[in-house]
Amino acid sequence: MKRSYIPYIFLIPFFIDFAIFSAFTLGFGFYMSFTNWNPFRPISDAKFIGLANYVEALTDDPVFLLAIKNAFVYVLYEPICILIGFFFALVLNTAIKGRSLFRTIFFVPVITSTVAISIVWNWLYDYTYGPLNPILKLLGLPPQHWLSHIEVLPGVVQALTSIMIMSTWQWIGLNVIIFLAALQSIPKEYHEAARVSGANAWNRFIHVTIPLVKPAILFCAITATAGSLQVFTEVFMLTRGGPIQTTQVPVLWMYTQAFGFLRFGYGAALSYTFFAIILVVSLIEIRILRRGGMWYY
Amino acid sequence: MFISSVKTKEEIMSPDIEWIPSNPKWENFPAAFSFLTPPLTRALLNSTIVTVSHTLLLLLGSSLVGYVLAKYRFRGNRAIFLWIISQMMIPGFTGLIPAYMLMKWFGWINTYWPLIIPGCFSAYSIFLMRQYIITIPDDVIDAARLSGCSELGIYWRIILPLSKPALAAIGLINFVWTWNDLLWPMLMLTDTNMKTVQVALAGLWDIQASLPALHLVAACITLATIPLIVLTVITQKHLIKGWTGLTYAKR
Repeated sequence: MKRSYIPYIFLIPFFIDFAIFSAFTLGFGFYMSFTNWNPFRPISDAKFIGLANYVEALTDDPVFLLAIKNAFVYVLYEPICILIGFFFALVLNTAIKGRSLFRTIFFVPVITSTVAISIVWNWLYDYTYGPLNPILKLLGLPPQHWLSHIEVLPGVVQALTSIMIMSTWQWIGLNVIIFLAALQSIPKEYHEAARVSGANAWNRFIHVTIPLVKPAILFCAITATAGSLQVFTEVFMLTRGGPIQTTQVPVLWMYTQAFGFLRFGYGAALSYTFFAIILVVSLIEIRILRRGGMWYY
Repeated sequence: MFISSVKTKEEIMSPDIEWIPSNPKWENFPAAFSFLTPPLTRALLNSTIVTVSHTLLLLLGSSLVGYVLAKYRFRGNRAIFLWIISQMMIPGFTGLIPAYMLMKWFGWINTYWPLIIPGCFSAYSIFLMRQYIITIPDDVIDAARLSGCSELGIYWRIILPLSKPALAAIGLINFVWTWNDLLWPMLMLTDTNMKTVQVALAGLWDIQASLPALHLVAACITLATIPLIVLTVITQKHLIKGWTGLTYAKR
C-alpha cells in the first residue's frame, strides 16, 4: 500500500506552503480587515470594528474610489496595445528580412524592468529637460506637461494617459510575439483552400485568420485585464499617485494606507474590496468572451 | 526606433539633445556603480541570489506538484487541481499585508528568505507543469518502476529530464518576473545593503532631483538591464516559446 501514500508525501511541502502562505495569509488578512489594527501596537490592541473599514472604503474615501476608476481607465490601454500589436504581428508575418531582429527589438521592452522603463520615461516626459517636448516643438506642436493633472478627457488626467502610453510601449512586444505565433500556427492549407474557393484577401482575413487567432487575442485580453488592474510599479515610479492623488491606483493606495499610514486593518479591507471587484470583472469578462467563441474555458 | 532612443545607451548626457554621442564618456559606467545606494554590485548580487534561488526552488516545487497531479491517481487530485486553478484568480496583492506580518513574526524581514520561499509553488507554474507532464507517456514511467526505480527516482531521473522545454520556459519567465519585481522586495528589504536592483533603482524615481546626474542614472539603468537582455538574447527561442505556450496551455 506504499504506493497510495506517495502522492500525499510528495505534496507535503506544497501543503505546508499552502497552509502558511495561502490559507493563513488570506484568512488572517480577511479577519484583519474587520479590525483597526495599527502594526506598531500589539495585536491585543486591535479592536474588532465589524464592517467599519469597508464602509469607510466605499463611502468615505474618495481617493479609493478615484483609484478604482483610474485602474479601469488604465486598463483601456490594453485593447489599444492588442490592436497595434496585432497589426505589427500581421506585418511581421509577411516574409520580411530580419524578422528575428524585429522580434528581439519588440521583446526587449517586455523583459526590461518596469522600474528602469519608468525612470527613462520620467525623463522623457520632463517638461524642460525631456526630449519629447523638443520633438513636439519641431513638429510645431505645443509642449506638454505630460505628467500633470490637466484633464485630457473629463475625469482623466494627462498623467494617467501618459502612463498608459508608456505601458502600451512596453507591452506591445508581448502581444506581437503571441499573435505572431498564432498567425504562424495557421496551416497554410487553410489560406490556400480559401483562395482556391475564390476568397479575396479581405475575406480570407475575416474568415480564416481572425477566427483562428481569436483564442490568442482573448487570452491576452483576459490575463492582461486582471494584471493591469493591479498596476503598481508604473504609477509608483512616475507619479507616486500624484499630482494630488489624481493618478492614484488601488494597489498603491492600499500600500500607502497600510505601510504609510500604518492602518493595516483598513489596508486589508481595501485589498479585499478590490479583490472582489477584480474577481467580478474577470468572471464577467470570461462570460462575455466565452460567447465570442473562446471555447477553452 | 523607440527602443534605441529610449534605451539611452552610452549616456554621456548633459541635458542637451544629442542623437548620436560624439564622444561617449565610458567612465560613466564605473562611476554609476557607486552612484546607487547601495552600490550597484551589491544590488546586482542581491538580485542574482534571490532570483536564481527562487527560480530553482520554483522549478523543483512546481514540477513535483505538477507531476503528482498529472500522473498519480488519488483522492483529492481533482480537488487540488481545481483549487490551484482558482488560486490563479486571486490577485497578488490580496495577501500582501498579512504576509508582511508573517515575515515579521518569522524574523525574515531584511533577509533573502521572503523573496525565495513564498511563491515557490506558483499556481501558474504548477498548472503548466501538470499540463506538460501529462503528455509524457506512462510507459516510460511504468518501465522505470518495473526496473526498481524509486518513486523519487522516477521524478528525478525521468520526469525532470523529459520536461526540459517546459522547465526552461517556466524558469525563464519566472526569472524575469522575479528579477523585475518591485513591490514585494521593496516591502521586505529595507536595509540598504539588502536591496535588489529594482528597489535600488526605485530610489531614482524623482527625475527632478537627479537632473544633475542624469548621465549616471542612465548608465545605472543600462547596467541594471544588461543581465536580462543578455539572458534574453541567449534564450530567446525558449522565452518566446514559453510566452506563447501559455496561450495554448489549455489545449
